[in-house]
Amino acid sequence: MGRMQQLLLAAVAALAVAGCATGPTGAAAAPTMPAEKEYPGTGRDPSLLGAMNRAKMDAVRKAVIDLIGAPDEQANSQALSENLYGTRNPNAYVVNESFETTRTDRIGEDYLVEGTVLVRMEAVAATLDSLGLTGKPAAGTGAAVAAAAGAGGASAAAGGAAGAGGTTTEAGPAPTADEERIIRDYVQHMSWMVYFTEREGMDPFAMKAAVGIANEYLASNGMEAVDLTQIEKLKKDQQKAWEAETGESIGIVQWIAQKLNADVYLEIDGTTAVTRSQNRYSATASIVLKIYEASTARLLGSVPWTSPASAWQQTEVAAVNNVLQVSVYKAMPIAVGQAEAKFAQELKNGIKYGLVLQRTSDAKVVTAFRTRLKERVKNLKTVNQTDEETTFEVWLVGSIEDLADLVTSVAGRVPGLEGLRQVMLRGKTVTFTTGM
Amino acid sequence: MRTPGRLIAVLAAAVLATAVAGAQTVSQHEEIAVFDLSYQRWGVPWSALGAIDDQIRSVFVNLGRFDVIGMAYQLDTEDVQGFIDAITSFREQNLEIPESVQMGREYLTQADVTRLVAGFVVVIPSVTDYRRDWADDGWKVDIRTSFAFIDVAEGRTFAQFSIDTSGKDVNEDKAVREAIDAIPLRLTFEVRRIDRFTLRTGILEVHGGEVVIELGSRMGVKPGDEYLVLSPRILSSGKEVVTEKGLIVVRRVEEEVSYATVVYAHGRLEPGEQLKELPRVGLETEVYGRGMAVGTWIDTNPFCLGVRMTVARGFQAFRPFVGIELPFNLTNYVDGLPVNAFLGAEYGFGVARLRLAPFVELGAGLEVKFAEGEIPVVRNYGGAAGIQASWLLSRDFKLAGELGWAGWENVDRSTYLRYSGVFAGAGIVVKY
Repeated sequence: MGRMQQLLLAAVAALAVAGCATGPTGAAAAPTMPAEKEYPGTGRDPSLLGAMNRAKMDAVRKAVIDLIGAPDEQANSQALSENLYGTRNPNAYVVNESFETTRTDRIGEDYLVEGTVLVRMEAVAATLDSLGLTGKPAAGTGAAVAAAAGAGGASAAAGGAAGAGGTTTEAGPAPTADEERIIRDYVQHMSWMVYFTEREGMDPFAMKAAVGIANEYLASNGMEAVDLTQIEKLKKDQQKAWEAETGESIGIVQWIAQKLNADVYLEIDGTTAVTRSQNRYSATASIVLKIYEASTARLLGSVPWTSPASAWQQTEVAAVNNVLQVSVYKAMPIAVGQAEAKFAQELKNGIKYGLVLQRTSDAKVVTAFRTRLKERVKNLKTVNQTDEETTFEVWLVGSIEDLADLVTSVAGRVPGLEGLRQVMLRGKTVTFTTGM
Repeated sequence: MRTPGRLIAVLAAAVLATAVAGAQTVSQHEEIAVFDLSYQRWGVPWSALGAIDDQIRSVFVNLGRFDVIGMAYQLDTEDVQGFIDAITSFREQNLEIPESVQMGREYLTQADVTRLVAGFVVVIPSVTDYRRDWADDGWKVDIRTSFAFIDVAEGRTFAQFSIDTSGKDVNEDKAVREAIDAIPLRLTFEVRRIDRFTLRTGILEVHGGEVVIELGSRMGVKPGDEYLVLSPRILSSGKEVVTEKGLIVVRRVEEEVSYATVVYAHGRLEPGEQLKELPRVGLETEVYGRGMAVGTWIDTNPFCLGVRMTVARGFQAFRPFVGIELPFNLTNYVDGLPVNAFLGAEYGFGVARLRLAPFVELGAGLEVKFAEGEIPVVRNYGGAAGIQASWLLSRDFKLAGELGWAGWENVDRSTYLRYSGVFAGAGIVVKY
């Protein structure tokens, strides 16, 4: 090759590189978007390879949610199914050689494959652009989503916490690796409680069946869920206790969630409509899943879902049950993803615990203790202080046992608290006596 | 048998549905119903129609990739719509609610029910042309059979083609039979070429130059079948393009999986690579030249031009072949045109594009005279043994070289047309 040709090639290459660097990359391609990003995916199919391909496309779906947000992904599910998820060539969107199987199982006639794969973000973004789904990275995703996604297999749709209201979380310093691990562990093992909103015209049996489906979804994804009968029993037997204890300042469902040590509770609300024709029934359901933090009732996520009309069935009950149950089952991954992402984000500022010190007649000692403890935790608030006892709310990235150890350690350095000893540890509250 | 009747009306009324067929990355059995053969010309012998019908049905059964349904309704229904109605009615009555619906995981919409009830394909075969003529030396029969494929759920015709076959014999029945017997090979190929029916699968495991692929004899995979390794990518416009990354050939078939040899690949192959069947008739034709190293009774080294046809589908290492060759530089020394016809077999093995195949062939030499009334006379017999080395130039062409020993003996043991000795040859092979 002549020198002139070499120079010309070099110039063309430089122009091409410059063009790539400065040219438009499509609206969906956010400036910080990596060329490839690893996502987990799950697939089920009668064919082993089909299950692998479905797992790849499940990972692609998560990338789509990252790019355009869960609500847009849900709103355009049909277009995405037809033009992206239903592709005959899933390898166009992933780096095939990066696919790593983490689990292969047989469920009946089907294969179940779980794995991770690098998704080609630019390919996904280009397809989204061609569909007019001009993407933008969903707010509140990023690390929180990654944490939530890593926390458990259930975070199938870890999108932004769209619709989540409540207190805005202040962005504190980035959590340490140890804190990240604790948050991940906490999110993975948090306890869920699912209940339904009682509404006139809605068959309680159908709603209970819907709760059953939601619990089944949680359990099958390795999450802890409170049994519905326990909730029903408390609701029936403890009405007076709730009134006396709270003065109805918090809802009974939240109160039950706290009593049952649930971290989050999910309320299923919805209506169904039935059409009858020639002794056959077709139904549609419109539901909303709302997820709250049990301690504060802060909204962590909200997922509206409307079903298509069911096929004509022989009984009204069958038609209603089918659309209601399936709607809950379809909306659950999105709701769980939203809640996990939001919760993981909030947990960066610490997990809220209750701390009770009994016999706190010496205010100076208590103040010294509070000042020292505050330096070691994310946040600390005094709820009430009397001679008998002082109650704190403490935010800490760690377990309740970690808090108990920390209190003992801090008290050891505060004159007057040498005799501090633990009285009780229950749920998220630990009680000490100062021995004063 | 019946005239088309409402058949044409059904085809004409077929409407393009908007529903998108669920894209499968790994082929699964398709349910197919073959309607009774119809014809558009009188004068087709009943026996011929029955034989064609049998051949068609056997093709769809033997292809392996179909569940052939609705056989019970073939004779009871007068038209295509009646045939479809009978099948859908039966399926509706016996509809099984999918487990995922029963467990509250999937909706059951009217579209789903339609898909479950009408999720099959109807094949409508018809003989559209039938000719028989007496030529100089026997009967010549030409049959044109047309096929239309209807997706019942979508109500649209998605494939249509015709197959022309012919037969020639002094006996008319034998000529008809020959024309009918040629249908399965062509029909099998044409059906496999329809995109919807072309097998799609993928690589499960890679072991050096060998791969394990999903799908086996249950889906009709056969030794010798070839699969393209696909390399799909998305352009910046969002358009999906698929290029060929490699080619594999099936070596051994089991019920659920097959073992294949990598012929060529651009880059390393990994589990999960997508494959698409490369439909071929299953034959390889070689045009070659073969020169003898020894002289004949006239001290001329015979040089043959020949054509050899090898059966590639259904066989892999061991493959039978037939051929004819013409020792054309002997033509000036014999009374007619000497033509050798032979049968043989090879046992091939190789690495990547290279294939080595020892072979044996046996045949007879004919002396063909062109004068009116002359019939070919068998003048000699013999054969050859040797080894062929071939190199795949492209997907469809191979370059071949061969070395061996050939010997031909005159039937009356005279020196006329007798020769034997070492030979070498070369040729080009077309795969189709």
